[in-house]
Amino acid sequence: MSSYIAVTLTETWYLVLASILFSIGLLGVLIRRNPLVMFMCVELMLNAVNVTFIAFSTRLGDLTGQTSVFFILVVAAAEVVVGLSMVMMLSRRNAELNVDDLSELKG
Amino acid sequence: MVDLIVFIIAAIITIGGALGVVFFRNPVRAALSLVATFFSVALLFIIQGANFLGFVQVVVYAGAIVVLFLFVIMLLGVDKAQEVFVEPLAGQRSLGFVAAGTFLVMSLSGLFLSGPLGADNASEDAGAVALTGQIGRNPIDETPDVSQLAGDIFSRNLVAFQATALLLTIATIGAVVMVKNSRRIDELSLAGAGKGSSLPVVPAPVEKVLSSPVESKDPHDDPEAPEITEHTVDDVSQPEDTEEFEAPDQEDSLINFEDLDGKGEDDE
Repeated sequence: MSSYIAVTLTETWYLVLASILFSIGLLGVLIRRNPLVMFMCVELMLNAVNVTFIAFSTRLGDLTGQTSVFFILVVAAAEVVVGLSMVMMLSRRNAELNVDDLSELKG
Repeated sequence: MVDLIVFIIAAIITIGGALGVVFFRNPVRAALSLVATFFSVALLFIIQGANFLGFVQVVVYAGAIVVLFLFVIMLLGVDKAQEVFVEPLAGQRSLGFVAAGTFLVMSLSGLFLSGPLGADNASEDAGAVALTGQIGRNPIDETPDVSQLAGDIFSRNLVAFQATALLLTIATIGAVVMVKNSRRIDELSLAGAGKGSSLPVVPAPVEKVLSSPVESKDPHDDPEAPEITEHTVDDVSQPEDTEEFEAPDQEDSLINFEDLDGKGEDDE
């Protein structure tokens, strides 16, 4: 049965998946207006980059990719902490969170 | 063969979860699709042998970051307020689709037409060397994944590790400082509303904090500058009791603005 299937799981598949995931995250950041959901789409993009790093680490047999993913995870966690506290501060002005309205609050 | 089936399942869940994050109107449903995406990305890590990173992905991303998101969503009450899908710019939504589609086409063409996997390269190693420059410097052994990763992080990347520890400390302190100042703002506005005087939405400590460094440069030009700072204090805190709320801010702020005023006067 397996001899008829010529398709093997190379690392290209992971890179294609990472590209699609990144594009969906990019689409979300461009379309959505709730800053929390925009933040979630940024996390999608970071995950796509993580998948790319692990794919190349597997392909090259090099551990540097996994180390990079480790540090990206830590930095993403710190970024989420700071970003969510900023969103909480901004939400004290009005309950409705809308980036277009927030962009008009200058000064 | 089994790898291929597991990969296809994980890929379907990943892309389905990502589309759910983008297209669900309720932020709570978007957060739950994000959990599905994180789980399937962890599955992708485990398929390729990065077991430790798969576990850390579940614990940190799905277990901490999404929980933080849900905390903030529930705290702010955004789950009840549905997002308004009205475009402020005409055609923004279609332009967003075009931009994301263009990026996808660009990245896929860059992947298949050139680069390490493309048709241009004669050998597979050429692209990899051009990409990293240090192939074979850090090879993956047959030893467990955790010990290899630990050996790499704590020996070659020790400075980066310490820097991330510092970064986490700064992020924690920054979050506490930001939320703490907001609480002073709420106390001041409540005090002003109780006294019957209508305070502005931007409260006094923020104005004093913002005005004092600017005003401290004025003694070079305008000798009446200290009077201006005193006027802002008198204008905003009309009842005398609200001055109590200003002193803790000056103690708690990292910069002592009275010292800045004093230095401005000494420089004359």
